[in-house]
Amino acid sequence: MTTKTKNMLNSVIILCMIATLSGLLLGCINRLTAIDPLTETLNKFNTLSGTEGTFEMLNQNDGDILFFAKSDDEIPIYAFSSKGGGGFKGTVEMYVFIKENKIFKILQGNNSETYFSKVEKANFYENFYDIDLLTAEDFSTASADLVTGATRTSTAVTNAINAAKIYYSDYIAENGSTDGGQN
Amino acid sequence: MERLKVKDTFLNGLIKNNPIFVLVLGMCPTIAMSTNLKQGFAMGIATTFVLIFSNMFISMLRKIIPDKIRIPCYIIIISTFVIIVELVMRKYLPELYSTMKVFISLIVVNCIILARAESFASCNRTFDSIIDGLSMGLGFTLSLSVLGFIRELLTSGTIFEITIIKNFPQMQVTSAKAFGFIAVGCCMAAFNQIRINIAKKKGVK
Repeated sequence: MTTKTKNMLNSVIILCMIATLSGLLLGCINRLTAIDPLTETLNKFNTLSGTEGTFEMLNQNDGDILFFAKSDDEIPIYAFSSKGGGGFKGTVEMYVFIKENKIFKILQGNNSETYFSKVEKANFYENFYDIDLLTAEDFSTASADLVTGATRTSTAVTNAINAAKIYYSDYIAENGSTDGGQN
Repeated sequence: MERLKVKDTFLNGLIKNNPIFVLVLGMCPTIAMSTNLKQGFAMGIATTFVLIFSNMFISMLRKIIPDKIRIPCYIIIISTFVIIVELVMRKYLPELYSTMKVFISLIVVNCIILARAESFASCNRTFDSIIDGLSMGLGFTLSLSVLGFIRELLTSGTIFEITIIKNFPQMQVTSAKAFGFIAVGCCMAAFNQIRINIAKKKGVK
């Protein structure tokens, strides 16, 4: 074995050793600092909705609905984390909060859309507020005023909100409303 | 003699070779993260942690790391500690982490850390390297905190989001990146003038 090959082997072994030790150390730290995605989402629902009640998870990973939770307030809040396809960079994730059968808050979740600020500046979410979800027709790109310059992003947002709307309507139809709503 | 060397090493990063105001290193996180004191301080502490531990491990392994692969080895060691900072911040400071996460990840390529690894830790004892990492980190934290203090106070009249000056006129321009450069320039001039004055006084004595 030549000196050059020996040096090369030595370098590879040392690099592998350092990488392995780093991996092991990170694995240990990751175990100590791991966050349960369910708890994280419920905490997020609590913070974003502004309620003093506690959310209970009702369902997760059901089609376009990533998480669906209900708060224990006197008038419960239903929180959705839903996804909608057709965006400029693929799928967008949205948080939708419903109280008394009406959407009262919409926020963006994890996504890589570059035109989201345009959607928010155009007050696009106003298209979905204060509409009775049990009697209203499904939201579509035809019913919402899509934002010029962010058409695909606003389409994806509409799809995500509509997924939450349909899921909510079906849930209320099946389980009935406990919030003094119309159903 | 030993104590004198430790003191010299410590003051070197803090004042004599301050990474921002003297060496002008790490300007990207300096401009981006000094819009308020909280972010500036947190960024400084995160960088200090990475500096101390990366310097320590690089110094410990300096005799077994072959010269040709030293940079990949340094990057692996530095990125390990950056990921640790990320994991800990994500768990315990989620709000702060969400506003800083891009710049926390970019600590890996922060030139202060790589420069100290290459120029100091790779050719000095472990203890000296730890002191060097600590002093450079504290120098960086101090500079970022001073800039954050000035910019936050001028932007909204607050410090650590606590109102200091009531009815302070909103000056959003001071949070802009361009003002960041102006603030760095002014602080750099003031810092170096003070440093020169102290050196002159010592020389006279």
